[in-house]
Amino acid sequence: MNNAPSLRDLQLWLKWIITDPRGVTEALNNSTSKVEKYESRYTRPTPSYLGFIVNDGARSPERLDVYAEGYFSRILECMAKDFAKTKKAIGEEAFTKLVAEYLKAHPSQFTSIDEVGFRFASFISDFDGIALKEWVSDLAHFEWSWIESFYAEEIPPQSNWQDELAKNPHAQILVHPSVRLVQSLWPIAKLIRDLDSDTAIDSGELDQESRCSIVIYRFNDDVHWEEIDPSIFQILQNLKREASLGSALAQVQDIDPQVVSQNFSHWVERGILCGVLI
Amino acid sequence: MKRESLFPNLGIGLGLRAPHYSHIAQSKPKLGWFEAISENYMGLSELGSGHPLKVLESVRKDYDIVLHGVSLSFGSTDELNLPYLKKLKELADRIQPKWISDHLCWTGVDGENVHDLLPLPFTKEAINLLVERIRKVQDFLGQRILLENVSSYITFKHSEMTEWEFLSEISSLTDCGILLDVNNIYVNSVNHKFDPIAYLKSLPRERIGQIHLAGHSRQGEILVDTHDTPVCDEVWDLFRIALKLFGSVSTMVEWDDKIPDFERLKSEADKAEQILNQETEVAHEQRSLLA
Repeated sequence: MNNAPSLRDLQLWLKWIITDPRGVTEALNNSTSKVEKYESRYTRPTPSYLGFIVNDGARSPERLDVYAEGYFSRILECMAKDFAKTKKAIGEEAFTKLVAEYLKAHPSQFTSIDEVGFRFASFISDFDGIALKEWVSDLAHFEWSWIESFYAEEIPPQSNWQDELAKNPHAQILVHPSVRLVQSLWPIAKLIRDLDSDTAIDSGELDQESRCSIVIYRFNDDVHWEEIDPSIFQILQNLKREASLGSALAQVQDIDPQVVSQNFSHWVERGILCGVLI
Repeated sequence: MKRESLFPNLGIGLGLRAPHYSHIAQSKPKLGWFEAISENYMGLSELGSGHPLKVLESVRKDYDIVLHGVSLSFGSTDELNLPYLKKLKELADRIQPKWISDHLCWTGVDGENVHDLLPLPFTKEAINLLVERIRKVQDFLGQRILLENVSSYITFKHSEMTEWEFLSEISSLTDCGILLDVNNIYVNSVNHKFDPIAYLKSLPRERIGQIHLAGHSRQGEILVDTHDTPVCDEVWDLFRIALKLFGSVSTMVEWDDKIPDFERLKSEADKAEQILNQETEVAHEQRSLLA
């Protein structure tokens, strides 16, 4: 066939028509009514290769629509699963618009669809397209941290490591790779509990700054989270930075040793602390 | 004389899916094997694979596993995804699957991933690209892979051959196997108006290593490969014809969306086994009569 496109040119054209945010029909008509930021998403390669697609029964725009709708719905479904709490908190309509804008700014360059949400939390914090409360990005950050905890490497706990620690008090303590630490100026811990229990969200309460600190970790194959005291959070943060217990504690002021001891036992029991590096 | 398949016959299998992990661990269902989606056990880029890989290793102790991926993007004009290929080899070395498979398609270009199995024109240019990439991948993995035919909603006027000629030529030139998705053949036969039996009859018997069965949905005039419904009668009929042509082949039922409980899924697998046994018995009787 004359003037048949090269395979690369055809693929670049198909990629554009499938992912153009306007949808197939408006993109083919080159409608400019919805073109906003991220011009590259709307820029169609020339020439058009629509004429090389077979029209038989269903017309080619309808056929291309199957791919275009599938592209967005597949990613939206994945994001809705990964950020279920964020979606519940802001509502389906706002969440769908947020994902559409996110895809314009960050079309997937990941191999796995499970990684598409990697930049979602930071995108939300910079986004001004729809009115969002400041805690929304922190909630999304919590949810992504949860996913990171789920996929983190599994390492078996060392046996008798506390005996080794007693002999080597300056040894670095190993924090389980699944541990993630999240802090927010907003009461997102209460929000998460309310969302999980289907309790009505008190938006007045959410508008009040109330710092919270959260640890997320995997234990017995399940991911868990706990709200913790900011001083305890700082100790864990220091340990994650490859500190010994002594130096982790030295950097935190006015902490009750009994509180530290109780938390330490809890962390050992839950596998949050899992060994020493001699 | 029919040539034997290049691949072992594992019997009937199912897809390994997260909602069924506990049931499989506790009940140890009577099945030949599981197909695991490779990407589900590779974790996120900078992280490990955590719990999912632990589950896969545990299932591997009791069952044969095949690895089925969606990211090799053989037909893309971008460079081969070497980090992904490396992770796939590491996973295969760890799990020792019976084989590794992926799709005859492309999934993205210009560094972007569309996360879909996109169709190719059936041209010599495409064949040349695919053959080079499949050979490289097989060399790297150190084994013959299986290539799955995909469902499609568009075809191209400048194609130089049929889909079945395209698939057969590529498998012959690369010495790879074919993962025959019978549902995809049916879907494509409706969407692009061809005879699905002609498709089956043209394929090299010895290269058919595995069969997929799945459900689909209708969207206007087009059938869409949604994998969220039971296998329909037309696909069961096509499966019977495939068995007559190719003999007994490792067969599994795919159900990837709106996943039912394990027993429902197992009932689809049991039906596939019943048909497989019927057709195998008929073939045996016919051979006895001829002898």
